[in-house]
Amino acid sequence: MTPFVFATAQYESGDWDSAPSLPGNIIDSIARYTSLPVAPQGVSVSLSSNDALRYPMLFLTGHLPVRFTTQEAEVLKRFIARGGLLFIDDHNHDIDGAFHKTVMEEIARLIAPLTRLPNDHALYSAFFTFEDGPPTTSHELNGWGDNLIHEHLWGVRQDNRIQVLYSNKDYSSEWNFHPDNKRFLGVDPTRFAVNIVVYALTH
Amino acid sequence: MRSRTDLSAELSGQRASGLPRTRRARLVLEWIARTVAFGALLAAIWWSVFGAPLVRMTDANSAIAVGPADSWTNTRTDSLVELLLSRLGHPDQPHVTLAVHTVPDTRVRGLLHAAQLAGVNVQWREASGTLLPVALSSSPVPDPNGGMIVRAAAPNGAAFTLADSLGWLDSAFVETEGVQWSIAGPPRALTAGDARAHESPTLRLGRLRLFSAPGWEARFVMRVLEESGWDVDAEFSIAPRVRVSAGTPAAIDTSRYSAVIALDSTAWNSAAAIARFVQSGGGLVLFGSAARSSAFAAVRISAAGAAQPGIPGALQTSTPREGLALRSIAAGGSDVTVLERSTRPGAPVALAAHRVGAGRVLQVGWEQTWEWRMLGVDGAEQAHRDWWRSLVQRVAFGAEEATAEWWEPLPGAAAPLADWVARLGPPSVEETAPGTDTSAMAQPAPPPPWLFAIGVLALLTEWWSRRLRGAR
Repeated sequence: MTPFVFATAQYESGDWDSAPSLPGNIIDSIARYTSLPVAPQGVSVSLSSNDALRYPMLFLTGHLPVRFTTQEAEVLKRFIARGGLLFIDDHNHDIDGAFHKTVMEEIARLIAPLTRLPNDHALYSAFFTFEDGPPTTSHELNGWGDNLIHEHLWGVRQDNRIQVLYSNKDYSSEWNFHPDNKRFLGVDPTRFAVNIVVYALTH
Repeated sequence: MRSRTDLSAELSGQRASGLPRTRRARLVLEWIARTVAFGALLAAIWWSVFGAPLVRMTDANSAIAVGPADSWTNTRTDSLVELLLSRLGHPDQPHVTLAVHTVPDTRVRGLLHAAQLAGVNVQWREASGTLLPVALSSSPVPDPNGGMIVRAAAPNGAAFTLADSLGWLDSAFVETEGVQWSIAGPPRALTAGDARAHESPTLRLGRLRLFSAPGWEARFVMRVLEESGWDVDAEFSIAPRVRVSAGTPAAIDTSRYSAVIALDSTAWNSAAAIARFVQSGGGLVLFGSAARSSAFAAVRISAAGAAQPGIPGALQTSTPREGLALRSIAAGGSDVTVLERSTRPGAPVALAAHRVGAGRVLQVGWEQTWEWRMLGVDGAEQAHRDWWRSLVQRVAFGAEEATAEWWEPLPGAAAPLADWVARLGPPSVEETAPGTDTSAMAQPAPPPPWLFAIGVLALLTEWWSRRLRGAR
């Protein structure tokens, strides 16, 4: 069985590598909680290259405005049309920041408008069960952003199958720590990342 | 020519003006002559269309002229019955020879066959050299979107059209192996030349059961099958004590499932149940990683070979599957049908099928087919979906449901010329009996000459009378 490879999307605008510890942390969680074969190292792949199509799940994050180049837009449209899953997280955890507004515009322009994902979607029971929908993050109420709990994630779906998953809950900050520090946490926040990966591999 | 109103006015005017009685009689005669001429013309037309005699007695050895197939009206069939009955028990044992332009319909074929069995020597010959032996068959495709596979056989070089009740669907020129169509939509009756395929039954399909480890192949196989309309059940082992279900996995039997898809070793523990499923009519799409286990020895074509890596860059070519890893199949059994060979050295078998009990098994050598969908050329996702759809169609089980025409309503309609020959034997090579009018046998008889003579005589009479009285 081919191991799962966690792939982070590079794009020309913005800071695509703003959460450098996140891939290793998610890989650790997959290995820790599941028996799925997983590559020990993640990869970074340029959205302007067809190599992005080798990884049917891509993670994209950043703080700054996102404007895809023509080549990136072409590859991204092809990626989605062929069945890939793009997971985008707003590293700013605010409701109307530049990243949020530009991602909403770009996804609507290239694929389809993002809509709220119901909190009983299969994503929330793909492995761990999250009865109240997406888990909150410690960054949502810290006063640096909109100081609101974002109760839903956003998505573009086809036949209820997620094509684009968008979070403005700042999981990039929540999961951006060394895996060894999980032992100090009462509840591992990366459990939801396991759900996203398992959902991608089985739906 | 004056109208009937003009003539009436003329007659009434003459009557009023006191014309001689003989002149009025002449005008009436002219009117009658015109009416007779018109009547003769209409009768000749009616005769050509409806009244051409089917049966023509030539001498003691009877011959019959048979018109086009669409002229087999009840009246004509009745006259044929009359002839055949007159031949029964005839002391001279005369034969009845038919010259046909097209193959008579099922009813007439049965009638002639019955007469032959009753002792009448019925022979036939082709009148115009246009008889085309076509055999047509259709069968429902086990696919949620329905559809039919239609096959036609005819001699090389034959050309004909395929049609349904709404009109033409396609034309065909037969080369070496007949013609095959894949037709979307509900089952329906079709015709090709004289051949007719009756409406095939619809299929009641079950769900599909997927055995796979969680991974990209599982994701994309589920996706393409659901996009094709199938409901897919699967169960994935995510952790030692955690299994995640998709759909509603249940016991494997033909009442629930149309086919099982075994992608890898996760199917090994269920191999016995899958083998029973296939024996009882179910379909199995068996991939090399699953076929490696001896647990599948009862149903697999061969143990899969070692995986050969895909050819670099081939996903972007016109043979994209060569870019996939391949576990070749040793398809040596006489009951095995090889469906695809790789272009690699030695032409290893990549796709093969065979029957097991009442079911069918399709063994697939290609691995990780999702790479074709994601990394292939433009249109790869559609090609990948169609390919997977065809894999399942080849093996899926569907219970036939009766339709209004589930039985064949017209025996022999699928291959009428073959049925005709089977009933009456091959065409006669016997010389035409002396005195037989072969042209009359070959062509429908024209209207009788006396009808023409009456028409001409009536017109001449009318013209002659009008000229003598100075009218134009």
